[in-house]
Amino acid sequence: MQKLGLLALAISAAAWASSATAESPEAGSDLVQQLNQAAVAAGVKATPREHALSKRIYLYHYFSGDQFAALTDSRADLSLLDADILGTVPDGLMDLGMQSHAIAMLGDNGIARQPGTAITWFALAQRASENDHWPEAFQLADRALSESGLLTPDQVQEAHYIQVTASAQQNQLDKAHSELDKMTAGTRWQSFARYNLMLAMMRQDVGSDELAEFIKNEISITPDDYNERSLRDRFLVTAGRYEMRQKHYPEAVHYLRNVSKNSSATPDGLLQYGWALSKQWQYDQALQPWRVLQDNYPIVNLSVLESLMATAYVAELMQGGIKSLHVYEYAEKGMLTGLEQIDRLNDDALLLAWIQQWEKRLPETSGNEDDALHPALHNLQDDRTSRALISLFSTAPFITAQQQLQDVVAMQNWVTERKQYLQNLQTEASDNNSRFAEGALLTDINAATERLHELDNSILASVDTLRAEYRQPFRFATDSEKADIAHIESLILEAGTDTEASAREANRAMLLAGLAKWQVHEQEPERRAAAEADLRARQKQAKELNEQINAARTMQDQMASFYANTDSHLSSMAATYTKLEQLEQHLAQLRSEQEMRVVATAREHLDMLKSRLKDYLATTRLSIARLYDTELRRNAKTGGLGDDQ
Amino acid sequence: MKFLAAGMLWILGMTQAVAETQDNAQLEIESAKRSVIEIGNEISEIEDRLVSPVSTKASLYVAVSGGRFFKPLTLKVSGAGITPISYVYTQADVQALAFGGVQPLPAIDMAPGNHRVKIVVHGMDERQQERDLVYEGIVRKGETHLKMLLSIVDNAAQRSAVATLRTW
Amino acid sequence: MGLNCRILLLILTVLGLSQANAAESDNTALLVGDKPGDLRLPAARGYGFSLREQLGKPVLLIWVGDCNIVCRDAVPKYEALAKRYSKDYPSLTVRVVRDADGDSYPRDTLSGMSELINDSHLPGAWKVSPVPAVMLISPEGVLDRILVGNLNRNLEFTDRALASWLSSTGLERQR
Repeated sequence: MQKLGLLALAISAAAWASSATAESPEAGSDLVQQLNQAAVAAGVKATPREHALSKRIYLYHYFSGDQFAALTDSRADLSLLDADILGTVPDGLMDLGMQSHAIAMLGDNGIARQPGTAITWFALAQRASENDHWPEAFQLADRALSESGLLTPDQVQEAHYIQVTASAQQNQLDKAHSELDKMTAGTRWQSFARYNLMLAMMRQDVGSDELAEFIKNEISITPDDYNERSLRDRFLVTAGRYEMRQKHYPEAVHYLRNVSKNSSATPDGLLQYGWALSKQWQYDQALQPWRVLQDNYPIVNLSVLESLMATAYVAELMQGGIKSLHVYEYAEKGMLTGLEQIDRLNDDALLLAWIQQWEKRLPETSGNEDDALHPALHNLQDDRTSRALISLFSTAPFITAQQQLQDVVAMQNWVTERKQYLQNLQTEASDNNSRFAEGALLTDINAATERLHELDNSILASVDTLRAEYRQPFRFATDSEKADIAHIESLILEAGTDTEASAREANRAMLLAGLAKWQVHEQEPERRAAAEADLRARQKQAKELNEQINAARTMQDQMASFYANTDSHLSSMAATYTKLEQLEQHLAQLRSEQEMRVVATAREHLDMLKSRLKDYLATTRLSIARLYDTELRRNAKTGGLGDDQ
Repeated sequence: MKFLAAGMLWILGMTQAVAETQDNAQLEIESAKRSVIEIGNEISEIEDRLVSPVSTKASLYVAVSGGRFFKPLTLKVSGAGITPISYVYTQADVQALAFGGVQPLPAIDMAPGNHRVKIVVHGMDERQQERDLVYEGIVRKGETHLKMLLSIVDNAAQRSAVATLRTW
Repeated sequence: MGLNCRILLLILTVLGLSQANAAESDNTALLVGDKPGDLRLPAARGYGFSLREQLGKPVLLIWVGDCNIVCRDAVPKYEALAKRYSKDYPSLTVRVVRDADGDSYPRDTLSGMSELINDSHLPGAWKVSPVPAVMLISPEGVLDRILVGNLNRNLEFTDRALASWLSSTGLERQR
């Protein structure tokens, strides 16, 4: 089978080369056709039954979700000759995180023409949208929706969502609206799609009234469900920020005041609410949401950091003089604590340990309203632990690096398990060889041959006996019957016919002899049939034994030739084992590199936070210094000691 | 083999995708995954071809036709000279069978000759009542790889299912 | 082929959210931090269970052996505990694992929780000793925590273990 695969690839390569030189975008390697040709060329003579079996084994693995078995089980190899099976291979590859391979296979003309691949197109549309490849994502989703009957209702909605988002990302608002109209109202996908469309509308300077109309439902309804509430709040925060940018402060305050107190968008909502109030000169009121924010959320949260800076800024705007010093000092203290925390966290060993401990954590929502919503980056969740580093999860590079690390760890586990398995196979192969060398089968064959010989002899004896019986006047008489008849006949001879009494006696004996002979004659057919049946049974037994001996001899020969190659088999296994070891080493290196990548991503984020915090701190300290300076000058003029009389 | 087809296409046809992703880490990891599938394929071949000769090999497969009147929960195979096999079905397994998949059970080592085989499939009927389907019979092992297909087939008239065994 | 029956040898560490370690250096023993092979068992009712199919979900396994009177009193309390956590973590998978008595499977049920039958003749069974034992298996399939001993006594430990463990598994918490 390996040979077939390689041959197929050789043809595939040639086709690819010729299509590449033709520079035709339509030209593909047409894998299906080439594989079929290759199958013929390789002389595969599988029966239709074998072929169907292989295909159904593949489908069993595929449908039970074991994509790895589907791709590696040698019993399913023949299924590759079927285009419909080939069409599902990219799906399996996608499941295994081998997107590049899947795309390469789907680029093949033979597969592209295949029906029944909606799920794969859908999965690819998801990946394309995650990677911001919007035109491709739209096309792929379109392809998936062309066979929407193969998708679940939720998948259909998601495919539409991808189309709305793709149109919105390309600022094709009319198209996005028309795609949105195809969606079912009230589904989460429709909400995601509306959010992304709202962002696109904002990019094209949507008016306040139109925006208010677009999100009127969000203003009026506060869902009980945490995730739904988070999404609704996200609408309001984004709308509030937009209106602030447009200097429509009352509208902004209206949106932001309605943000709930417990959702993933609450910190950003509180920050923006304070800003909106401050823009309307409501400084005292502005400090309230920031204080709530600072009291309830970790210091390294971006919103909290910004609120500290904002507190200081507003304090200055209040022109409260020395009275507002405590506000500045509060902000300064908070920033110093933040810096301390960041310095503590910004340690490779600690980050590495943390990453290894929290490997699987999902990202929280990004605080940047300009990020289009995507479910993969938008798991609206409340994470109670490790909050100090929570903002780290919202960055796409971190999530990607973390997922890649997961893959490497999973492969390492696989290699460890397979090494053990291969060792077991090696042991089994050696044990089988040793058992064969002990010659048990040969002994059995010899014993069976001996049994057959005995059986043959007994059959020959039976044949002789039968022949002898056929020559007898009274056939198949038992020994006792023969003895009885002989005895009666001797009585007849002894009795003679000298006297009337002896003649009577002889007659009676002759009558008895006749009766005995008649009885023997009467039973002859039954006895003869039984004897012949017994002979036939033994002949059949001998035939079967002979067949078994022949089969065993064939098996002995096959086994002899198989086990003669044991060394070669073991060395093949050893070669595969070496590959496993090499892969193990490679994965160990890859894991360590990947962990460093994750750490580097985390550090990069922390450095960004630190740099921002330092800027805020410098500004705050400058303000404090200026405040002292102003107060000193004032005191110098008045001769006071700083008391604000 | 399927991997090889996909893998080679990747090498030949992925120039564009590679240029698009520009993510070395991702490519390195995908490349490692290719190695995993390739070695997985090799181990499957080893298991199939290098551990014991075909003359001692027998395989048992399970298929479900219909699946309305009987859903398997466990399966037990026993017989003289056969290492017993037990299997526990999950919902995903049963679904894959209902979709037309054929389940390959672990390979059986079997000497040539006649063997009495007993297969007990414990499962649920249409009314969620537990019941057993039993196949008992003699299979003959020759010098070639013996293949046995246990089919669980709905009998609509009796609203039940039967288990039959085909060999070749 | 391969080692199907994993043996779990445990000792109870004493404090708080106790994590047990293998009592012997038996290379077949499962340890906290191990990623054990598949556990594949029949259910008392309905389809069988495969641990491998639960990847991506946190799994709580309550091994009760043949479940004595004390155990029977405790199991419903674990059911209440599981229900409470399932509200916030709907993906939490909980199974009670009972021993088969030779070839016969228990006919009664201990609670409303799904029950599995640990039939040692099956290739996918684990040999867990001592029982009762409560295992927490992470969404990645890693044996994260083990609590052994009296189920009533360990109820509070299990509660605390679940609280910290579930929040650490990074799963979506629905509120």
